[in-house]
Amino acid sequence: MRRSETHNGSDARRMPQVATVQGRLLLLCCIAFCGSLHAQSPAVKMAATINRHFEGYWLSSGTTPAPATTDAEFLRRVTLDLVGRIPTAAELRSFLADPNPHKREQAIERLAESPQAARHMALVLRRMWLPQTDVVPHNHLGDELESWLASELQQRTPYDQLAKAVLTATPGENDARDSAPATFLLANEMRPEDLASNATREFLGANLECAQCHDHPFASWTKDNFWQTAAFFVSAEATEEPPTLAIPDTEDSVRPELWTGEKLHWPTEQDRSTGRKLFANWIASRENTYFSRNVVNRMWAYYFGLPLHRPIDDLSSIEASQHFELLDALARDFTEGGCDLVSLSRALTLSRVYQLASYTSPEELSSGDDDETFSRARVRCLSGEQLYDSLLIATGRPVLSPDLASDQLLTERRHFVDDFFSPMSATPRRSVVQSLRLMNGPVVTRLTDPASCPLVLVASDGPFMDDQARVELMVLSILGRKPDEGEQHVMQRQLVGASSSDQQQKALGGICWALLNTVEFNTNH
Amino acid sequence: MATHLKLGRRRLLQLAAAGFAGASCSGWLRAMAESAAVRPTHKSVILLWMNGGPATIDLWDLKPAHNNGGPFKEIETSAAGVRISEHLPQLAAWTSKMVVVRSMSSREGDHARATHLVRTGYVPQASIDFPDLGSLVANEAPPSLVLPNYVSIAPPQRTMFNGEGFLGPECSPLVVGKGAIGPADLRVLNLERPHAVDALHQATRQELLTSLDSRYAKAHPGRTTNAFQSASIRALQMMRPEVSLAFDLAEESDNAKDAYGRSLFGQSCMLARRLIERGVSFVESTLDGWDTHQQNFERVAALSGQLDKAFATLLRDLQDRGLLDSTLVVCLGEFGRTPKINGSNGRDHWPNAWSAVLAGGDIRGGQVVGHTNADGTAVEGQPTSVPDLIATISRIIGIDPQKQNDSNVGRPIRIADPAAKPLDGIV
Repeated sequence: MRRSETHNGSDARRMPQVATVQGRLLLLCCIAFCGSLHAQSPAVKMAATINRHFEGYWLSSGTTPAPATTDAEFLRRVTLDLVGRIPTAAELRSFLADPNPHKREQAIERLAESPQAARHMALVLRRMWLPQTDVVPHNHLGDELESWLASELQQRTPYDQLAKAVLTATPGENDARDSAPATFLLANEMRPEDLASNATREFLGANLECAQCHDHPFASWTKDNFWQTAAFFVSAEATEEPPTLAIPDTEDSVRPELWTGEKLHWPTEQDRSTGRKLFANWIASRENTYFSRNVVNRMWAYYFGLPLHRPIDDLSSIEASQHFELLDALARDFTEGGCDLVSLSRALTLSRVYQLASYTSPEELSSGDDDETFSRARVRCLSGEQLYDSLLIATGRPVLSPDLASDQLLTERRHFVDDFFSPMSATPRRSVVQSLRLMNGPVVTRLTDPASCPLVLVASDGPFMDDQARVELMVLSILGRKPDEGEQHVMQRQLVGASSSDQQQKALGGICWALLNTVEFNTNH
Repeated sequence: MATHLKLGRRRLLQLAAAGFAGASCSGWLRAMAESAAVRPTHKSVILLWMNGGPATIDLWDLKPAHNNGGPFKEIETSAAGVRISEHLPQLAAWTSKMVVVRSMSSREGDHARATHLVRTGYVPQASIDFPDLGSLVANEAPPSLVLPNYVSIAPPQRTMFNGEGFLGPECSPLVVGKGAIGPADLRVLNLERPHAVDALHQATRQELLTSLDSRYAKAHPGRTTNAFQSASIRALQMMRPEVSLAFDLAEESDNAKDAYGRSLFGQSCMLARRLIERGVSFVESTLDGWDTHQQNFERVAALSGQLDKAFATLLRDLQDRGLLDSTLVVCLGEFGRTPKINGSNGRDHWPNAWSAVLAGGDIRGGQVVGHTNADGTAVEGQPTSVPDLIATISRIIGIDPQKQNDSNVGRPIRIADPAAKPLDGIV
């Protein structure tokens, strides 16, 4: 090819001209390769969107965001949120010592892609979709659904497919081993009005339930809309017409209709679940903006302790919400990216907003826990599962394996989880009964028994350990950070005067107990 | 005297800090007494929960003139014109302090749904975690210094109570005697340090915990930190001997124990009185076994014996201690039983018409509200729904039945259903 001869100074900014075809192709390949290294994954792009939105928001509202979390705070929080437990002492030490500037992104990727993350997300989804499976009388209906979800999530099944499968699962149909269990139907006792409420509220963020008895005060749906929606869930015998549903305490009955006015195409031959399947397909369609905005909002609430839009189960006024643009952008990115929950989790945890510290100064206390500026991280509860599993990790033990652990231990975990249950959207609370259980109850007593506690035994018998190192190991293992000078002082005092290894182990057991009962251990901060 | 000590949070922490400095018992109990005692903002409640659906047609609203009446006879009581079962002789002396609501009616005949309705005031709705009345009342009480505001004694084994529901763990009942079989089981779980831990070791590690939490709270102020720290402090305070004593029935005389009856229910009513004395806002005691599909009359007679002794002694005890006017006692179950006696000499579920009893609380006693028809199958006068009763109880004790609480589904929910109408002429 001819060399270009006519350009001068502006050449410096243009790509160098290359003589041969092969040369040009090579250049193009190099550019493409370099391009792909810098090409942003969907998660990174979404994180950047979040950062841009909030940085602009903070600037315009004159809010000063909290500083970034320390490495220790970050790892503890993200490990709890992605895999449901605190990091081990070894994981922490290795992370803290790692000089790699990208270690946080890598940690997120490693955690979010792990099988434990799939199991943990299964629990989060089950709780999100069917909150009634955590309370009497439907508690423990959730196990089957969770197992199925965990397995699907490990295969990266997209969120919309998961939703469709769960909403349409019918007992007696598709009894293949890997088909979704009919938990949605059972947890709502097969009642059309309950099925409709549950489906619209948890999967769409559309709270039609108020309209069960009267027209919704703010949104545009009416009492008729509610019952028309419920009519989709009527399990009628094989007919050629959509089923009708009689409105209780009235003479009226309605046919299934979408409150948005869209028309659905009913097949000529219908069976008991045609209506439900039609509705489920409409809910989980990629064109349904309620659907994608709802999942983004709820996932945000999970990671940040407060949804982007409130109330979480009623998105009818979402366009007036101060973070609407972000929610909408993330929802579109989520859908375009194939409804990948792992990608969404990575995006949220990669953001600067997620990685802010949870504390500021006493003067900042006026921005309460309901603060929608997200300028500092909220202190959140640990779920019963997170707490139990973290107690094991903290004392140097592995989490229970569902296949290998004894029935006794699995039952102990179940009872513990029940005793520490709190709904996902509730403000973090702790009762006296729960505190007593942690202080004097059988689980912590067993785990802190100096004779058998791996952490105590290592601290006591480990070679070359002085009291300073012992205290550091205890605090690192339990609180996930290094102790400060004051703490070293206070805790070393406990070890002074221990003249035998028994006494020393007893004192270490006492320190272990105290650390496990602190506010710091018991919260996600 | 039942008083609530309205100490601010700072004072609470000061007392807590004082309580753990040094090994000797702190002066916190004295400080509590010296502190200006604030009158409670509402009356206390004792709920006598008759689990299984009691045959109120054989307790409070007998039909001796009809076949449905069965073998029980009526007796006269201290309230003119009010007659109750012959198996409640001691209570007959107390009807002048009672209101007998004979016109309760609901549509829930299933144990779980009916229990939910009567205890929370709402029929079950998927995904809403309704709180029991005890938690609703506890939520209205000022934060308690030492004991929780709601205590549940010997709840039934196979029936699940909702507990605090969406009100969260602060309103959760302290459960005494979970799975209890006899009076010896009436203890608070986890109130005692583990056997393997001696007192000095416990004190040492508790002190370390308190100091670590204080340091953390200074550096991380906020509502959540406060909530968790308060729970810890209160738990530690409950482990003090003076507080454990509140639950220790060994202090009571043999006479007192005999008067209440040596049954699980009898002793739990005595414990209820002790807790009311110490300022607990809402105490419930369960008497189980009322689901009498077979042998109704033998079983109801036996249960009536337990109920009679315990309930009457409770009222006398409260009166003797000057607590009767400030304590409302409520006695009911999830529904009544069929007037028509079945083939096993039993009665089945009957929510259409049943009775509930209110006593004490400075109500206008000695009256009957509503009435049923001659065969007991339907309410004829003044039908009263469960929400109506909840609203009535609220009014009696001095809380607003229409007060809203944040629920777990984002929608605020009132203490009593908005359609509830409290009964007139009771307060």
